[in-house]
Amino acid sequence: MVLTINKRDVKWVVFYLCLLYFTYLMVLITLQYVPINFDVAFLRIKQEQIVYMHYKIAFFSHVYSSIFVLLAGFTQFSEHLRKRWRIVHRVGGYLYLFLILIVAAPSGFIMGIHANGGLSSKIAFCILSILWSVFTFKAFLSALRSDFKAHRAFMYRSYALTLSAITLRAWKWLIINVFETAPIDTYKIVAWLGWVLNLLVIELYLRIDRKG
Amino acid sequence: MKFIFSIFFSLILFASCQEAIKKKPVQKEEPAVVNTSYLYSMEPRNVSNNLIVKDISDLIGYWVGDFEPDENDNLIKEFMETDKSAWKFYKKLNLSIDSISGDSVFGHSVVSGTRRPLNGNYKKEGNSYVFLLLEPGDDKFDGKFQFTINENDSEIVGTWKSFGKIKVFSRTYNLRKILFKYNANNALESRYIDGNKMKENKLKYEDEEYIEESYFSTSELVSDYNSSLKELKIKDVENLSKADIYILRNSIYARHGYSFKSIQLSNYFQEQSWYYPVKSDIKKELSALEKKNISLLMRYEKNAEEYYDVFGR
Repeated sequence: MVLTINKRDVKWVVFYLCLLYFTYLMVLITLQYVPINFDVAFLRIKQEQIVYMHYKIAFFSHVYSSIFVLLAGFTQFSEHLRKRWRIVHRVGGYLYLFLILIVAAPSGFIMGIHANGGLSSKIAFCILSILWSVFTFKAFLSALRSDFKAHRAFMYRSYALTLSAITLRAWKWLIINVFETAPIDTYKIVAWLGWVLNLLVIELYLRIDRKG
Repeated sequence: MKFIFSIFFSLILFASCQEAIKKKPVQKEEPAVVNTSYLYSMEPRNVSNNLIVKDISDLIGYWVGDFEPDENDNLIKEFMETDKSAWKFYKKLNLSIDSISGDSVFGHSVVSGTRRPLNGNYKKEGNSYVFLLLEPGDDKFDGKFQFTINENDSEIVGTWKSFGKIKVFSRTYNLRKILFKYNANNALESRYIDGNKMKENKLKYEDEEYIEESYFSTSELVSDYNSSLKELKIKDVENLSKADIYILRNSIYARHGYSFKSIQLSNYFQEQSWYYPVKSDIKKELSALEKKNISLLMRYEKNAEEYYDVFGR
């Protein structure tokens, strides 16, 4: 198979390669929690919370579902798939929708209530999970109305928040390696930076896109 | 072509992924729980408060000092001058004289967290006591201690010769008697800086490039806590640096007189006026509070080692 890439598509190729790499890292992070272990990785520093049954359920359903949310987004941007293989777009879309609305966002909210870094990061994660649900649901409603312009805009917003799983961790890596800040101080910063910046970028992109 | 190249590039990235999300933890120094039941495990008893030896019984106790490679020997001198890791061979010795009956002497040595029993005798020559004490000889690093101390003097002067063939086969020492007592109130008096774990950060400042060195070192926060006195909470330790946690944990062992295997730790605690490296096994002496603090600190230390600077939370 010979692959030729249009200049127009270069940004998508770069985007997908980055997405692929970081998703792979997210898979590795997820695999740390397989099989279920209450004293491993992030949970080692959540010992005060992991004793609660509701936290246990929230944590593991969030970890196990979020990776599929991230993966379900992979196919959805392709115009080719949307036109030729509508079934793939539909199945991917429903998977994405249900995983977020029923599992990942509510469990994210519960974890947000117990987040490290005090009130400010608790608020950050709770707002994140609410906005995530709202954008995803609005995208679904607009698709039902066949308002595909709005559908696209809200799905972009929703996926920008999905990607905060990656950007939050990337910011943390960058900040720690440049400034060597203390762990919780860093966490307080990335709890906001991880998703607010994503939203700003996507709003800007949508605005430019609308004009162009 | 570009596409193939980028796939190749991403494969290389994949290969180093495991390290990107989790670092391999370093083996940590913990005072070993040594089964000493088969060994001689006595400590000196009825130690007199005399730091000057007026009578043979004043010799009972811990005698502590530098345990230096004998540079009068040319082979050792050459080794110390040429070997890069020579600094590792400067050690501390606790020569503990546990009991004396007749002319036979029982004791033990503690060097870098290793305890060896000593057995031998002494004789009086003029106004000085001359000792010859042997380690068992079943360890590569066993040897014999020969030393003298004069009456009305406070210093032991002597040599040690190894039985086996090792690099530093002869050592010298000047030791003083110390009256060791555990005190939970002992506080850290200086900062810990590990010169071996150095990061070089290249900085550019007005076109001039210079290298800023940052060491693995503790912050001022460490002096806010005494891990032997106060129960540490998650909120106390979760924002501390790796080095802070490391020193808070090891300060507990230091208060009990643990003789560290790590040269850096040994040198650091040597700076604290209250520290003496006298014991090899202190696990049984830890208080319930200290045990609790150690397990919390260990948890955060391990987390910091594996996850502090990687892609993750």
